Amino acid sequence: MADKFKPVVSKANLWSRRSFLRFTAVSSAAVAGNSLNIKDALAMHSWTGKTDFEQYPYTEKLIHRPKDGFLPDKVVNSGCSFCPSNCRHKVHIKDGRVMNVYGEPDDPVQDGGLCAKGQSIPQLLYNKYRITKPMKRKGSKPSDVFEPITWEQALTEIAQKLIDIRDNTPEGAKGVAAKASGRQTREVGAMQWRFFELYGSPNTTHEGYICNDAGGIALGMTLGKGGQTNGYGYDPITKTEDLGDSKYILWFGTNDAECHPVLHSYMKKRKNKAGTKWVVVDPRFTMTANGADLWLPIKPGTDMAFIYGMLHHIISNNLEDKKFVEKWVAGFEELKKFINEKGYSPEWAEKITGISKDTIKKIAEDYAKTKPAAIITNAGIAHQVNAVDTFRTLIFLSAITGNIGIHGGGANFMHNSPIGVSLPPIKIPLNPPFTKGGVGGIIEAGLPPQPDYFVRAVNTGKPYKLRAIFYAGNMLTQNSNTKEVEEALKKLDLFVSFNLFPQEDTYYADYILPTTTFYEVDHVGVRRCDRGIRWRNKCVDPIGEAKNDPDIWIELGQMMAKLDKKNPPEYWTENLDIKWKDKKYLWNQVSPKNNPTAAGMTADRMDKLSVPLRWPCPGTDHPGTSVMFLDNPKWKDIWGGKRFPNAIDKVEIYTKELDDKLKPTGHSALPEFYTSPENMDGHPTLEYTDEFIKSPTVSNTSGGNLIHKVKIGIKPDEKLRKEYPFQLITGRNSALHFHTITHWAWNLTQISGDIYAQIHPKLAEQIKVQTGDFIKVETPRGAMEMPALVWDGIQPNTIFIPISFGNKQKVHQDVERRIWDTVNNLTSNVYYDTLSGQQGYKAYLCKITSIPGKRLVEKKIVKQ
Amino acid sequence: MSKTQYGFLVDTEKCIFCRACVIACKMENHVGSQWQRNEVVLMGPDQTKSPAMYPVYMNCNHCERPACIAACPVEGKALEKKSDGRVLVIPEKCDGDEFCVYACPYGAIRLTPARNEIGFYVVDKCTYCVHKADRKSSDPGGNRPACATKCPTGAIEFGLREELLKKAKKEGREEMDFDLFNTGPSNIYLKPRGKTTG
Repeated sequence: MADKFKPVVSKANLWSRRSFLRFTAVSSAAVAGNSLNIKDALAMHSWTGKTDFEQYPYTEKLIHRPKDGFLPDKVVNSGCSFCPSNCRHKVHIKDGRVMNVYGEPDDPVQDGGLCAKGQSIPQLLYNKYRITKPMKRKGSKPSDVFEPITWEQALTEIAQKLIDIRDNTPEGAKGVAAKASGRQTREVGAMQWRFFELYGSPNTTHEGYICNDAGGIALGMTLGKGGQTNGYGYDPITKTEDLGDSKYILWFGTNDAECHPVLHSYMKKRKNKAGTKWVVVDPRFTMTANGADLWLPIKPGTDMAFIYGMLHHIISNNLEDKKFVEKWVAGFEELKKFINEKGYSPEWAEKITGISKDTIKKIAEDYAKTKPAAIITNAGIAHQVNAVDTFRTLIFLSAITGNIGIHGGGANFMHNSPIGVSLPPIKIPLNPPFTKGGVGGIIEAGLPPQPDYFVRAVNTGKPYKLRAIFYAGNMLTQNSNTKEVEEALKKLDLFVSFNLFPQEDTYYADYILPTTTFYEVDHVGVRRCDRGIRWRNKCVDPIGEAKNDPDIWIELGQMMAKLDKKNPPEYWTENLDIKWKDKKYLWNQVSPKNNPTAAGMTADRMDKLSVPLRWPCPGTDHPGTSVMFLDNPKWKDIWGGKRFPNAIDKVEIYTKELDDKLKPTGHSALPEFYTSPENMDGHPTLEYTDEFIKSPTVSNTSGGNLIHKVKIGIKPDEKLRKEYPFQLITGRNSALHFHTITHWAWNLTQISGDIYAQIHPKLAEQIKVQTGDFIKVETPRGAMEMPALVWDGIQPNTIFIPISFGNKQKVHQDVERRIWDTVNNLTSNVYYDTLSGQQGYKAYLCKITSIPGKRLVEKKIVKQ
Repeated sequence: MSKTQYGFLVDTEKCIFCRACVIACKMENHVGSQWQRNEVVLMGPDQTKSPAMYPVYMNCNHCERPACIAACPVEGKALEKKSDGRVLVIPEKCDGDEFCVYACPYGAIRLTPARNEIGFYVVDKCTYCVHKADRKSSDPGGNRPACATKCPTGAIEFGLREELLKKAKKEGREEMDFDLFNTGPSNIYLKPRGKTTG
């Protein structure tokens, strides 16, 4: 029976009889039969028993008929916490069940739109694989067998273990680490942070180092405050559409169209209306590049050279905004001298970036002469070892052309918009062994802040050993070098996974704690790129015994109060108040009361607004801030009359203070060009020494974080370069998927294509492969086999493999899809940007070979 | 073509291939995991020369002279053309012969694993969300088909075919002729204007 319902024939084939060509052979219809081990699928299935899944049947149910059309009983305003488009969801509820989701039509940016993944949340909510009870592992790691236990038992055992580690191991409390998820960011990170502060460990971290924290750190260092500088949609302060009114946009290293479909749609609509010119700088021809006026296929990791080339041209032709530079920029002369001394000219940049000097000059002129002109970037820059330094050169570019603090301009580094929220102050002072001088003072410094470093700390014991990890997410797909992750997971004394589904890393967990989706809790979720947040209402009660992440930390705190003999119970109960389970109460305690820059962001106000409220917003009469760093009292009054809230009230390109602050780390205020140690052209790179120093830029707790001291300007390893001659880059697979979670929604898994390696036709000719042929991609960490996708939408000599999921994808089996595997089998966990802790997930050396005879589809792409 | 014929206006230049439309349809109409009522396919004019992608939205064209109805072997036909131009499957009559599936030049009909009361597998296709037709635009979810309602880019617009054509003409856009099979498809695909280069 099953065979009959495979797609009969792809529509694309029928259409290609016309003037069209079939674009990609690796489309959704191309499914290769690939037998897979489903033993553990069946074992895992018995975890959850029966769940409430009938409403969204996979198979064999009568289909919906027109006459069955129904209207919902009620519509709840909730929201999506996937990407930072921060869409409001109008959740349709009938008979107490979520039936459907629509977008907010009254938000002019969202305009009723939704993307594919946001709509599929009901399939995560009601999913037969969902973990609905706390689970305890039986048998050795990795294990298929877990038994359901009560919350009481789970929390008691975990709390006891935590006390044991704190009191009876040489590492003490700092041997425990945790990573929060972006699923319900705002309060979760804070609650976990509070728990760790009380417990005494500095190793609490979050998804920012996997995502894009480097941009915020660069902005903070240079302008005084992190956060995307400009916003989307109508801004009452400047009376413009802000980024929507930009005249020229440089997109650096972002596939905005597929990563933030709804926000990008707004930008695209505005582009059509205002005739904005778009230039996309990306090694790959993405959907974003498809909508742009110009695509520049840059060599991976060389953005800094491109930007220096532009800066050189602007400075040597006096194209800078002299008025702005004179009044608001510190260190322009030093920058000028530095660029000239180093010889960072467009001619020099041409050799490094692979983009002609004339193009660089033209872009520099256009960018400098058009006002307002914006820069928008994301993970393409952030996931590099030179993230903060590259981001800073982008700010230089934006600042010297006078594009900072104006509508439609700015240095817009997405995904890093803190809204300055913490928890109500600590009531009972922290316990002396871990603190100095009362509130919030862990003495010991934490590990390098990125969760990828947890693995290295477990495996190498440097600078100290980790014994326990609490992880929300999926270590075996998110973290680089999965082989080492597996090794570390086996070594851990305690691994607690906060999860919705039996992800790959949960097989190694001692305890799995069931968490909730966005619809099961009141919360403020992920912010829009421009710092805008919404209040999201709870739609339905949590499924089974699932609890939301902050509540789990609060309850673990209550359990610690019972078991911890070294602290009085109030130490835990007062500092992690059980009343905070009421999220509206908590939010109003935090934001209006304890955070003056967000004083106007009350839960009720945000709930009533159909648009996100943008931080900073110091009062209920303040409309929220779209353009940061405005020369306007609405902005300056928030920061005591300063336009740039740093010591010098200027854009800090170079000051001696900043340079001295960065010197011990091996960096400098004026960064010289360097790129990944694995770059294919032998450019200068950096070397990580064994010396740990305290980071001057990142501190997750009051104890700060350690980082490796680096040496910049080192020549890369020639031998490695000869053996692995090509460049591997990674990125989002399509608009359908989001990180570790969306493949559990069968809707998305059904229509998504296969994993592939995108290669240039020239390279394909060299190794004699065509689209659909399997190739083997190898790095020093491992090898993967996958079909090739051949086309010229990529830098030659570069191979793109999308990030994807691990190999335990049950829904892929259900809908008869080939199992993907994660590209992190190939990546290294050694390379990171030390100034931000951002893991370098992009730019590795690799080699590829063809696998003769193995094909995904029989058909060739032929011109018709 | 009839004055009351509905249709989609599809602008491939606006589309960003997010496929919200596909999921919107699946959520609205509870389409199962084995088939889809609509699809977005990436196409390029000549992929070996210039990298350009044209994501093309495809659903049932609700043709003027539907090949599916002509091909249906069931007595009295298991598909019908309504006065508002919709072509609808009558699941009660369908016996799952798949003649329509093969007759449709646009691949818009699929056999499903769902059965009707008699026990036959039935075919399924786009209905322009007919269950929303009598609703008001202020109702939850509005009264337009789910795909067009949720499309974030405005690449698919739903409306009366004639009005959509007028609108396209006003914006100086041309309709693409793809009626190779002479069935009178109601979707309007706008000719891409090509890219301006830097």
